[in-house]
Amino acid sequence: MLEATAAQWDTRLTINLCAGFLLGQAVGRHMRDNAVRGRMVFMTSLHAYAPRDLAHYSASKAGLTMLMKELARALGPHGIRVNALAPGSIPGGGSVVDMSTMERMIPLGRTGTPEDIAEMAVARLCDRFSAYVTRTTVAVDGGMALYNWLPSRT
Amino acid sequence: MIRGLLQGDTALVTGAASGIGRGVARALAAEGAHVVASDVNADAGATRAREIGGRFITADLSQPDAPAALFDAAIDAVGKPSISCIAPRPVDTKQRRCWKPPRRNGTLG
Repeated sequence: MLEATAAQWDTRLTINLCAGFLLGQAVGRHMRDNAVRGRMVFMTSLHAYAPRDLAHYSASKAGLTMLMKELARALGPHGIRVNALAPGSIPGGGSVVDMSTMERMIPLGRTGTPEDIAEMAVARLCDRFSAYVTRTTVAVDGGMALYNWLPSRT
Repeated sequence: MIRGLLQGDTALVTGAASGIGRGVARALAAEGAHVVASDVNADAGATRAREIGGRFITADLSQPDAPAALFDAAIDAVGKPSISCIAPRPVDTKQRRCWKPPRRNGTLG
């Protein structure tokens, strides 16, 4: 946190938040203007809620969460649903995970996979399962966010 | 396996060359959606898009004009998107080093 630079802040906010705003707005307008009953899903993070010693990253994801809600409110009257997924620890892509540390802290006993996230994305995007669901964030984290500083009573 | 839950949909997926974005792009295609994939990594992105029969558009979303250009290109390519999935990469390598897992009983939420 104390080492993050202004350049890192700008880059991360541009990619994670500004791009989401500009794309979400453009796609939302287009859906509205063409009477498309569209659906959007944003990938946020557990760190939208809990700090990670990466202020630029966590702040960008917290911002993206509110952007999702603003879009859900603005686009709901046009039949457009907007939701977010908050992935837990998902090795792959840009994420490298110390498995030995992580898996002890995840109630379901394993880190997640891109497929874990993708299946929930399908569920949120699909009207069959989510026709009445908008502005929600679903944590797909194997219960990882249950972990806290309190010692277990074992 | 095509279950067809998203048959008739057109989906724009960013960050689609790897990780979560790639997984989402594959899943949407598997459900019958027509996928327009985007990523800053042109080679991997184009390959991944080909694997799922989708289109690919290179976009470096760290550039201020890139989102508008990506949107225009997507509209040109497929007309009316009915789905968007915004999946930026987690953190770059350099930034990741700022963070170390706590030794014990850490809050990781």
